Amino acid sequence: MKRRDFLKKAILTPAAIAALSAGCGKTTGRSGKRLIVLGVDGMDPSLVESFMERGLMPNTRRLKEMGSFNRLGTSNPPQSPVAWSNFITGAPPPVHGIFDFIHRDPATMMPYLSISEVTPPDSTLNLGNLRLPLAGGGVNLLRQGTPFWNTLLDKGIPVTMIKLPVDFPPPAANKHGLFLSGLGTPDIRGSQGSFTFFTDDPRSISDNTGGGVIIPVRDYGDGCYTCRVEGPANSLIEGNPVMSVEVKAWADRESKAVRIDMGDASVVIGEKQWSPWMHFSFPALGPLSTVHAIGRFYLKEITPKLKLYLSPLNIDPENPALPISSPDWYSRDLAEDAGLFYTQGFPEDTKALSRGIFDDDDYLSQANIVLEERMSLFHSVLSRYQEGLLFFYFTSLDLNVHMFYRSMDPASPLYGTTDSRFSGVIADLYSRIDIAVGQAMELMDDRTEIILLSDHGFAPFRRSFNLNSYLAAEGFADISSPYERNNDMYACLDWSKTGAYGLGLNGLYINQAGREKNGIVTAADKRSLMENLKTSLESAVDPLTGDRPVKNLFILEDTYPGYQMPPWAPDMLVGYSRGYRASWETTLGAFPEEVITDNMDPWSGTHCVSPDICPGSLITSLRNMPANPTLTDMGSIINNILTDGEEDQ
Amino acid sequence: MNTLFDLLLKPFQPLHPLWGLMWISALSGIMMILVFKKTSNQHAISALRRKMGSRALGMLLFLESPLTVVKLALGLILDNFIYLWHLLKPMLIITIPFLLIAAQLDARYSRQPLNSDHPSTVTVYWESSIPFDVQEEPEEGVLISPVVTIADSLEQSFSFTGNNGIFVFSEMGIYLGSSGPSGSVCIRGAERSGIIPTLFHPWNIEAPADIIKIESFTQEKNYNILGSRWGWFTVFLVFSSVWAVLGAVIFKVKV
Repeated sequence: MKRRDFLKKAILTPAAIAALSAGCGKTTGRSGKRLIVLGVDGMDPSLVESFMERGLMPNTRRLKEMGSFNRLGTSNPPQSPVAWSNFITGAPPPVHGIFDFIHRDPATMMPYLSISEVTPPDSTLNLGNLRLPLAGGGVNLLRQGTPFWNTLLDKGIPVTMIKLPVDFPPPAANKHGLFLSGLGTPDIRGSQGSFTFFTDDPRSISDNTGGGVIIPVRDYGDGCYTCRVEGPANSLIEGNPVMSVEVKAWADRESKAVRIDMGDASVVIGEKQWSPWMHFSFPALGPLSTVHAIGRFYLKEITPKLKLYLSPLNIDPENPALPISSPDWYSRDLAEDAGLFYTQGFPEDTKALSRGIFDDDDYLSQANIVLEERMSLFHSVLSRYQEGLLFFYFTSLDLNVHMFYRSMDPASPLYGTTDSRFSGVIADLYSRIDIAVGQAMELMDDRTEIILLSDHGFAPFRRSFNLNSYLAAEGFADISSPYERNNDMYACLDWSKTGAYGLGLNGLYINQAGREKNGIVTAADKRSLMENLKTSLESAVDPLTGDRPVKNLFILEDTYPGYQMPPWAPDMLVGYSRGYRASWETTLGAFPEEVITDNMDPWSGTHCVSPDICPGSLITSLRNMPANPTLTDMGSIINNILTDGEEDQ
Repeated sequence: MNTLFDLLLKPFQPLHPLWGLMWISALSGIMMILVFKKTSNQHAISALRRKMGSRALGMLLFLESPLTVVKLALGLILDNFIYLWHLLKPMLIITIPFLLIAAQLDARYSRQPLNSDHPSTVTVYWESSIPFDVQEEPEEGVLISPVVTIADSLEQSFSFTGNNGIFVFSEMGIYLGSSGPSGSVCIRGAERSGIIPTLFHPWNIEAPADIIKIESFTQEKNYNILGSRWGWFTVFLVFSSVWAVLGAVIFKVKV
């Protein structure tokens, strides 16, 4: 090669690399149909109809007029992990194995999150106090069954699933697939979202129901508060000590602001202001292994006392400590384009509101950040969308309607104490979702269809039903230690005299011999006990209202006949009536004195009721939809649209 | 120095920052290898490399004679020191332009432009007392936080978010943030002048009277290359090294 030729080729190299770089991350595939599916958690069909009539959802109305509007049959129980698993696998809970947010191991009676699990390494190399993993260990998705999009990927049709629930960790990398995990993705500490609240007035927070930690801090006269932020446990060190970083908050009470210093980073925020996302680095093994996280500070108050909130530490999408996207570079790519975003599955901090850390204004400002980030992500994904399936999930409607149903429900015990300023919160949220619908509709052409769907609707949560207390009162469970009634995990129970117990939001279990750790009910007696429970619970009456709290008690083997139930499945599902739901105490096995109480938690809307009460919504650009569609039908409908009906053939 | 580099780097300003950075790195690599050629003793290096090659060959040929191998190995070690000595002068000469270029590139390519998503924080360190009447008057489109005063250490801090990529601090005419074309200097603060600050901190300007220094914290900029994130220095180091090696081959430089 002549020197001139060589120079010519060499000069082109940077340009070639830059061109490759610019092209990186874009999907390619055969040209074909396009389908945009907007999954809006908790979008209630009755509210959609009402808001369309009031002109608050013009784009959705246009979509309905173009195609069709249906109520979409939800799952039983109508909980998001169950419903979205039905959607993903096209099958009921006995197939995908998700029956509730919470399952229990019958051998130990310990509860666990139903969606995913972290397993420790099978073997480690021990060097002093170091524990270096050699094999095994990791994060596993507990959802079973086959996702509908596998058919599309096999045919080479591009699939993009953004914030899809019950998909953490995401599937293995596929050249046609882009995945970003949604509901079920933990924060960096492994919980579903644990805030940190620094204050020099810790006694002002009396509620200790979890969801975060209160850290007392003190100003020694120079205006500086030293705040220690706890990160994840360090599994590389014996005893798994918790890693932490030090943050200094310099308070200026005259200007009502703090300067937050962490490492080289520094930011000033005033009262009622949010910091931008800040990067936290937890060195697990010196500079060799560092866990990265992001968090946002919120200065709730500075005078007279400091009240500084730190959001749950989220997995950093630019440097994920756990797999949150597939391929792994995809989360970084999105963050670079759309900015940093909440990666945890439940981004809205409902616990902070329930515990009184936030007031309604604080909560809404945080929820607004979440929705703005989601919109920015949506815009980024939409702008790159070429073909195939694009699924995009919105969580805001669900969590915010949970918290603000009281603002539009005059029968709610909290309606009178909720500021009238918030009466339009839900309508405003629906309007903002409608904007996303409009943005998707701008892409419509003769090869593009749109489906707007939700996993369930909504109902009021006015009265709390203490299922376990009811079982004890009716002789189905026996309390041996009454002073421990309010402790979790059946601390007060005498298992040798207990036939049934409640766990999770809808689950009811028989204390079955040979399955449960202390089981007493034989296989022969199980059926009659379940029928007794059905008769008893369906006839129970709320003494205050005269209503029946339980509309249906579903015996699982009758509801899903022909399926083999896994050992973690509940035996029955409690279908609550409109206005009722399992109390928070019941979900983790406590037994409060009263069976039914007013729900005084801001969490005032629910969908954990009988499934016929809260169907989801299905609005599409397609005129020909099957009659009475359900979530389990949607996978094959989507595949048929994108494969021109090959799925049916 | 900033003006000189503004002039030198002007051809790259219309380019995307990554492209500009890559081209500058490539040219820097070639320039540095040419400087190396001019300032090093090419004849001596060439002879030394031949000598080292023959010693290595000798070690392979006389494996059965441990004494010869040890002698050759010791000679090889000594040759390495002599080789490093030959490198010392050109490397010292190259270090100065390298540091100057690196400082200029840091000032131009290491920070995110200001935008509404990335607030920047400024801290002013006063010399003797904090004046009462400090008021920040932001440009249109710039949001500013309240000012936090830390009396004990005579510090004042505030954060700002701008849409137009520029912020005017008080009435002192200090512009922070990056504006203008790609590759222009992003001013990050101020400090008292001196030869070293002026040459090697081109992102700072002269600190006004009564102020020891002004620091700002702005987001670092990363570049997406083949799906992974590279800091500006990694881009510079890798591309200048690759092109230095290529240049050594093309221009027959003995390294």
